[in-house]
Amino acid sequence: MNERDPQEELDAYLDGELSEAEREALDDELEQSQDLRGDLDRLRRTSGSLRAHFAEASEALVDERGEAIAVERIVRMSTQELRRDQVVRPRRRPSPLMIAAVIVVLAGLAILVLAPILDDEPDPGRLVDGTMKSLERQALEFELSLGGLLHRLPLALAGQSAADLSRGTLRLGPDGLFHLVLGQGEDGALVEAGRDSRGLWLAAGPTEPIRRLRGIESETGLFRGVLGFGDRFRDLLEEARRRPEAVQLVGQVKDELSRPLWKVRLLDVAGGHGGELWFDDSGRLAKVSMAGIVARVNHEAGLGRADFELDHIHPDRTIEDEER
Amino acid sequence: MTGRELDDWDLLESATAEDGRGFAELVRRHYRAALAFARQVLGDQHKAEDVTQKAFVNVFVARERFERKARFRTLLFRVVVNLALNEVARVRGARSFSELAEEESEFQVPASPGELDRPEAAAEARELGQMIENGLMRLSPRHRAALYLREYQGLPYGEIATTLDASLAEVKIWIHRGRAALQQILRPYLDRGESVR
Repeated sequence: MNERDPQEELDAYLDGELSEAEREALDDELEQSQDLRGDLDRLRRTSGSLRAHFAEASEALVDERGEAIAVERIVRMSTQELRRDQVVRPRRRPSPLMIAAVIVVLAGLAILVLAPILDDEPDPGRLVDGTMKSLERQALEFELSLGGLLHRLPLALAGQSAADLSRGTLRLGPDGLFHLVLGQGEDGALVEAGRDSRGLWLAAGPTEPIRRLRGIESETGLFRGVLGFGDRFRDLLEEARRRPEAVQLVGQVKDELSRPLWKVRLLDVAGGHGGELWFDDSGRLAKVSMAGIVARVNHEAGLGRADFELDHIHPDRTIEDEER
Repeated sequence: MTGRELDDWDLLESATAEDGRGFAELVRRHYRAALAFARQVLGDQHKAEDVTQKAFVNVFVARERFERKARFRTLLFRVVVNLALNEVARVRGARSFSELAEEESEFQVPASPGELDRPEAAAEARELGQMIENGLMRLSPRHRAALYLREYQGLPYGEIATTLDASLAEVKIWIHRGRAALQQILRPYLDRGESVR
């Protein structure tokens, strides 16, 4: 016999998912049992609190600006992907026999060509080490996707006129050198920051003087977040070098263009989630995700130390020193 | 108004590689909900952003293969949850889906005694919200997904089952157990008859 458990039916009762007969039976039991009515009340309030929690969490996920940027990015990626798909995909539908023949041939080829590669999982420590060595020798160039993190940008840097700070370019050089282009203001001027051999600097357009900043790194928090991306990236790589257990190979995944990449997770000093790195088959760093910022590695820019010097980047601009 | 508002499927069908305006409108309509759903399943904002983005791209590229059998959002959420569960499985390594399902059926119902014994510490709404969030994160991704779809999206059990590719009985159990787990966390408040939120 199928025994009914009124307790288990309360959820379905609350959600209007009981049949009429089941509902009537439970109504009778609720009328007779104060305990059951109490259970239903608690369940109703639990449900209400969950609903409120989900609503708050959903609201706080992304602001309007971040949402607009995400929509634009999704549409751009989708149309690009479709164009690529249309170019690659044959127009005429092949016969099942042809498909079977192609599958057999491709499977054979795949076994011959890919098996040695797929069997050979990379050592994540070596991948990280290779990236570090690469960074010591020459610059890496990243294309940053800032997405919903725009609101975290320091106002002093973003300025009121900054129109599009959704994407940036970051070049990392040896010894902490960096050059970051955050985006363009309404007047088309670049919002930039960097660290050369004399320290940190900020620049916001051709009419404003470049500011060379002294001693602020640990005080103001100005260089946290987006600006601190490069330093955090280095710190995590160094931590990974020191502690092999802080590097974990997650596995092989595909990027949005269906290219296979090896995904590696880095743990921070406290053992928490530090960031994620993606490497291509040749062991070259392809993508980084860290502190809410996703960065694609465009290429090894091949820049030398001198290329990060302010005088080299902005030879015609006035420089103001700023004590903080 | 110059004309009727296109429905979701119309917008999807109107989109081409050269003209993404219709698709942009479609993404605008559903981005936040899809992101919130992915966030609930994955428990991680950045992964959720990646998964949501990939779900829209996949739907767009494969749009000719879909039929108007269900609401567009049901299809989209199904893609989101599949990608999210793939991500969960990948992170957990070599364990199979059946092992994951077994593990999920035995998830631990929650709340350390310390949390239960400190109702005064959680008096503020933010802390309470954090307790709920912590409780949710102790559930399996499927339990969280089912709860979110029911409580926030207001979907009937049948549509939740379609979205999660599950049976009606499974959905019923997930929702019952999920609420029971959260109720245990909130018990100090519920027993005092206080309004929880």
